[in-house]
Amino acid sequence: MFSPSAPWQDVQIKGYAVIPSFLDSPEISGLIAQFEKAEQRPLKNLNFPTPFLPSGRLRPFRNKLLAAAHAASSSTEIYDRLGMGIFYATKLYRRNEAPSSDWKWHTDTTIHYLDPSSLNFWIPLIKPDRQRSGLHVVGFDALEASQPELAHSLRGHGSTRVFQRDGSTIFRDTARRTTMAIAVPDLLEGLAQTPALGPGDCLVMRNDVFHRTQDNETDRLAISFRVFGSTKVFSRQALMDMGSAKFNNMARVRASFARRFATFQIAGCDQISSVLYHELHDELASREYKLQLARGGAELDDTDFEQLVYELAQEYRGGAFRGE
Amino acid sequence: MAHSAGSSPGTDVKLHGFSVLSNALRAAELHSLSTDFESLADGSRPPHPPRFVSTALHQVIAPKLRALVENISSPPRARVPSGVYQPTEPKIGWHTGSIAFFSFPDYLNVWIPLPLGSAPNATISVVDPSVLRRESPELAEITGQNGSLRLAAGEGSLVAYDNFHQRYVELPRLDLDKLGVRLTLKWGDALIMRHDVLHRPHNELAVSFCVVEADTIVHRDHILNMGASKFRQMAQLRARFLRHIAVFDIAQRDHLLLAEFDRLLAELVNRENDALQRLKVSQLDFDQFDDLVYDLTNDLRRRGSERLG
Repeated sequence: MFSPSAPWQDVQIKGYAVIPSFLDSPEISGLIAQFEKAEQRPLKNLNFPTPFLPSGRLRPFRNKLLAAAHAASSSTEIYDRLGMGIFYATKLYRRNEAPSSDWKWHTDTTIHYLDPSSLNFWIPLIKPDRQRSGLHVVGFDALEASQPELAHSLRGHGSTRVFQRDGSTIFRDTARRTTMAIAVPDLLEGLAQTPALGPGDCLVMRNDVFHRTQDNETDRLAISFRVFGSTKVFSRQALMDMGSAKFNNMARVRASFARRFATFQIAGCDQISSVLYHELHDELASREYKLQLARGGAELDDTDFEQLVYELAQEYRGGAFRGE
Repeated sequence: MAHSAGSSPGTDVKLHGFSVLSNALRAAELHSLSTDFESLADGSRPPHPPRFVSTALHQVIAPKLRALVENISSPPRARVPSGVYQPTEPKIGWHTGSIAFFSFPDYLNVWIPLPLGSAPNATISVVDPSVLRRESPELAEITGQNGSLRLAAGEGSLVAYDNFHQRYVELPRLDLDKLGVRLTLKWGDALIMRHDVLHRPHNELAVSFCVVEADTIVHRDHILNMGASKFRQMAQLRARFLRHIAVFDIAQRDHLLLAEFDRLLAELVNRENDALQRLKVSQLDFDQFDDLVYDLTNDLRRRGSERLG
């Protein structure tokens, strides 16, 4: 369906590409209906007002997304595992009184902490105006031409926030704990592109591409599918390498990151393959959810959570879950 | 002051890991602590985050405990970084302290039972590390090297949940209740334990103060070495540990003397309070807190350059 031609080369060179009419009308309406259900549920991620598409609802999009991700893969960076779908709705941001990081330049944080490279398929589902309420992005071609050292340092990394201080643009990588100041005010504004997108069009971008929401003036709803690589090895150390900003982010989504740490505990080692990681993690999440339901929805206390992790570790040692 | 285990409290702590000191706190002080604990209840559903002794009361109690510890065997000057209330959770069973160990690998735990209801006194079981070394050298080694342990009976075994190294260690079955000593404390008495003493409280409520040597070095890696349970507990205390980690970001160092750590922490808290007032918010968001850390880091660097200049 997709050939490794022009738009996909852009993903490797610039970091992003636009694929017109990626989703059709029935797919768009189906996802809008899913959003309407998802926004009624309590938010899983307390950092952002971004409901998730239930993982069971990812299946119909799997083949299409993985074929596209395959076309965008390079010999060194292979994207072949559909991870999640996240809804971004301007109306939810307007409802949220606190200022959102989405209006400022950034690369994504939470997703980056375990797996530093992923593809983001950002697709508007409702978008009254092609020219408004989209995303501003900065291509690596433009960044490289303007600031080669900065581009070199940021390529392949995410979780960087950008802000202004004393006429400089500050890049703060919250995972690597590095800060760079470039003596150019609003550097990224001058390099930004704003692809015109309508419902169903797809902006596909790597996790290291700086972006920010254009505006929240129209009622725009988008879904962001994230595709990862399955050949990666994950490490506990990568989770633990942190400064205050990363801890702040992780602690706000405590249950989610506790499961990530626990996954290494179940496997009994500090480095595990992506496939095994996801098998153990998903089993833990499912059992934790069932236990919570059985207890009327209450969060497990530390002792019960520890017991659950221990039981899974025993099962793993007994030969269950082989990551195959 | 009377003590329980041997010749002198200092010798007891050194040889047996613990000592009971009578009349450590007065009734009025116990009452203040109980009232403080009750005032911290926020009506939220469990699991509740640990509750720390409020700052004002901590400032009253800490000098007294510091003197108490300094008296027992002429140790170096002591500091009391934190006090945390311990409502007894029957599911927890035998354990070593966790919250204090998250920051300090070596500390004394001053455990003071607080009256709740009509019980005439309080009881706690402890295992003398020298006895443990004789009966279960493997568990003694784990206990000696790690804090934040919880022990539970497994199928024909004793399972040590090591929250610091995020591992489970299965040991031969051991009856810790038989091995332990059950101590009875009068209200106002304090049990001083080394961090490696396994204990199991039987009363409903206590307060546990962490006491460290004044020249303790705080290590960033020690705070950040974690598994799931430690992360869960630290995340429950997000504001507290966020500041602790931020202190190292601001200093741009991985090790700090406790006095330096405390000084930077105090400056961070002051700036945070100023920012809360300036921004008229109840808590700083992700970006606002990181801005604060960035600005304080730069101010510190500037001050350092000016001093050198």
